[in-house]
Amino acid sequence: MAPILQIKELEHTYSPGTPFQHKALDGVSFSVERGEFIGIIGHTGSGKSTLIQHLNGLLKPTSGQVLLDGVDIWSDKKITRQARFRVGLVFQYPEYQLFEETVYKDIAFGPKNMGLSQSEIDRRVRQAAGFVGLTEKQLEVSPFDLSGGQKRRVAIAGVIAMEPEVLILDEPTAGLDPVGREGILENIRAYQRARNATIMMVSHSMSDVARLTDRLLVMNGSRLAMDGTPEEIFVHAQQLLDMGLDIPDVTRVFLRLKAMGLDVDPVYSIDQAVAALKKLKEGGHHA
Amino acid sequence: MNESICVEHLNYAYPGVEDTPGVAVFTDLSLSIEAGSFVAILGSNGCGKSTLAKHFNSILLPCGGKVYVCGMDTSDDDLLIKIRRSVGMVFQNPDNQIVANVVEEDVAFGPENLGVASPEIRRRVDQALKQVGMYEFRKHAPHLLSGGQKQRIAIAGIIAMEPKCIVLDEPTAMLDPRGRREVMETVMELNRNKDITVVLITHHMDEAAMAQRVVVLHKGSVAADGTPEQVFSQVELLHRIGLAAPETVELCYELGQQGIPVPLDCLDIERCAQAIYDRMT
Amino acid sequence: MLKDITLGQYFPGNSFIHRLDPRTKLLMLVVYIAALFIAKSWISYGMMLVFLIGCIAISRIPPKSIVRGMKPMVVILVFTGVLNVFMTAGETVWVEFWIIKITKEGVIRGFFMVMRILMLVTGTFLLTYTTSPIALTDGLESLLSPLKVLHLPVHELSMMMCIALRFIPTLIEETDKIMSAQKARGADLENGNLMEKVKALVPILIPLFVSAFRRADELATAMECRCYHGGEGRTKMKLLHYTLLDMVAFFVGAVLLAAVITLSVFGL
Repeated sequence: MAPILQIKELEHTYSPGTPFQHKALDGVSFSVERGEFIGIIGHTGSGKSTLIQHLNGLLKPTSGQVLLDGVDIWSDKKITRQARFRVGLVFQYPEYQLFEETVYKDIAFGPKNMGLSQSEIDRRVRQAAGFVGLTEKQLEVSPFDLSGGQKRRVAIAGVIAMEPEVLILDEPTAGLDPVGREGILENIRAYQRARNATIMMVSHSMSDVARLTDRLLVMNGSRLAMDGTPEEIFVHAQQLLDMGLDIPDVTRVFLRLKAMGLDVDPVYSIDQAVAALKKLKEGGHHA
Repeated sequence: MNESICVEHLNYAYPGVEDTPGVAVFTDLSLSIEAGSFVAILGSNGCGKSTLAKHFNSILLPCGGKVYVCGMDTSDDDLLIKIRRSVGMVFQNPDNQIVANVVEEDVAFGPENLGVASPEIRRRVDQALKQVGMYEFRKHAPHLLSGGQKQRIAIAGIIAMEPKCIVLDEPTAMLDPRGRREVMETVMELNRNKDITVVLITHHMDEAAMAQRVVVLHKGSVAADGTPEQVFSQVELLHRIGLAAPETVELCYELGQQGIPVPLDCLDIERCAQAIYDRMT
Repeated sequence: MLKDITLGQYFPGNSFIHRLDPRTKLLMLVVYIAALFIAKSWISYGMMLVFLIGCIAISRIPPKSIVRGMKPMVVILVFTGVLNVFMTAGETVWVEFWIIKITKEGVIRGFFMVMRILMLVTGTFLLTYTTSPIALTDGLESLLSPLKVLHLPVHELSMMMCIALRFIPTLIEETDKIMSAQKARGADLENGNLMEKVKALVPILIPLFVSAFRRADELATAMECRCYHGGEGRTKMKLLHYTLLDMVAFFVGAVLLAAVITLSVFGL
């Protein structure tokens, strides 16, 4: 099967022809397979926000193409509009986009714009609310009466209810405490499993990204600097540090251990680290 | 007197809307913070840490008990300005605490309110901006700066009032890793070089680990209190109340669970690596 | 698109005009506008134009940015021009077609009207481009301070202006963000009739208002924390004082006004 998304030589320049002209994307190419969970990392201003806004047609490339299921999303007005629904985009701090009187109505906004039937909208709203762990009772309250973490779930449900094939989230856990973070990440995984959806997640938290995703895209200076599995990326831990990125503390500990002379490969999660050390310990005993 | 902030049997409930009863946050909280120290207050969302911070400079007043700041009772109306110039506050969203649209004008806002003479304001503003490393940006418009830079401007605006204590309420929650580093370095330096008492409210474990003392709040009371090493080695307690230890400690803890005991007081990378290395060889 | 709005944008600099006291610049703008309305002849308009171009040159503001700021004015300019050209009765008819009659007098009048608006707006731009909004509000506060006697809240007004100027870029950026977020949920902001378009604004305006109120609330707390308690007992970092530069500017302004008045008295 063809990749769900193909990005070809994408380039984007803001405010062309003015003193503020700024090339935010430069020669970015990659493709995304169905069902993949992809993490996008890069420091502020590296072009990741600009990149994701191209994937659902919010921004038009200065040059290059975005192909959704093999079709250029800018080839036809209808196709551009379809792309908005097929590729769902959850912005940073999405709770600031809530506006309806009730949680139910707010989640229904997207499906309604798709022109679905009343019963289909109802099904989708309830299912989306289920994915993010909202109760029936909460559907009838005003979104403005909820806590910050719950508001964010409502906003995410609002995009999930469009049942996008590709779900893109820009720092979905920013500003939440550890429990809130874990909850949101679990919701996203649940959606992926249930729909076999493709997920792309922008995050500053390397440990979250490395733990959850199958593949990482590293943006640096408007270009795609690295593309590979977390294992492949974390081999270049030093380069990541040079790009101003935060690598997980376990990775740092392992870099240090390697420098001290222990025979360990780079890791990025505690489970991996423990497994690696256990193996080393047992291997050491046998030797 | 060497207590900067002293909370005695604090009782506080948010007033209820109409007839509904208020929401109790603290029933009997006591805590004192030594002058010149760097204390992190840690807790999950809704544990009352921001509510507590607002008591430190009379934004909220206790329903019962007392809060003293540099010996002044925060519920004494006449002391309001004196209290607020002694305890500066930095909030989460840097955008919503910058008043003016030129950096140096914003930093001058506090001293101007205090009625400081013009040449003295100029001196303080320049000094504060140099302190946070933003002097070269003094003529810039704040909205064009990065989050970390904006937050440093907000800190400069506070130190220009020459407070004895700074309370930072999740100052890094909206920042990227680089911004977080900038802000933490600035805060640490203020504490070390200017002898300013720092109270840092956060839910980032690695930031709390930089403090001299960590106070863990849970459901309005103190769940743990001590040096970062003492507090973070109580990994199970932290998990129970929805928090986690820094990753280094979590690693050591997990190794222990798997039959490779490693001491739990290794917070930084270097010490953690050394402890594991010692255990492995 | 929204980001291109150049409302109240300040270009930092150190030119003669930048260094003038904001009060001088405000007063000069008043004088300049008065002169514009008195001026009636080619000579006086020419003089004003030379003065304006001189000021722009001295200020080192890139003319491009003035032209860009003028873009939203195009409709008004064209409207004024066309209206004056068609509505002015005159003797020397240049074009006559159906009920449309274009006369020499009409064209001249239209030209003057357009020039007047252009020069007025450019003059105002010059003020906002060379004066930081803070200095501007300080200047206004100082000029209006005699009105405090009448219990007019002069300090509060200038504080409000200052905060508004500070938050305009932030709110514009926020509007952009909310629009993108709602578009991502399929909101259609471009198509539909007037009613539908108005309805489509709801998902943008409500979050914007909610956010503005939240910001206002947080800002108020932050200001209180920084010991703000109104204008009483407040000092300023930058005291306003007139210098030799201001005297020069006042002199030039006086000469300009006098010249324009004299010319108009003599019907030139």
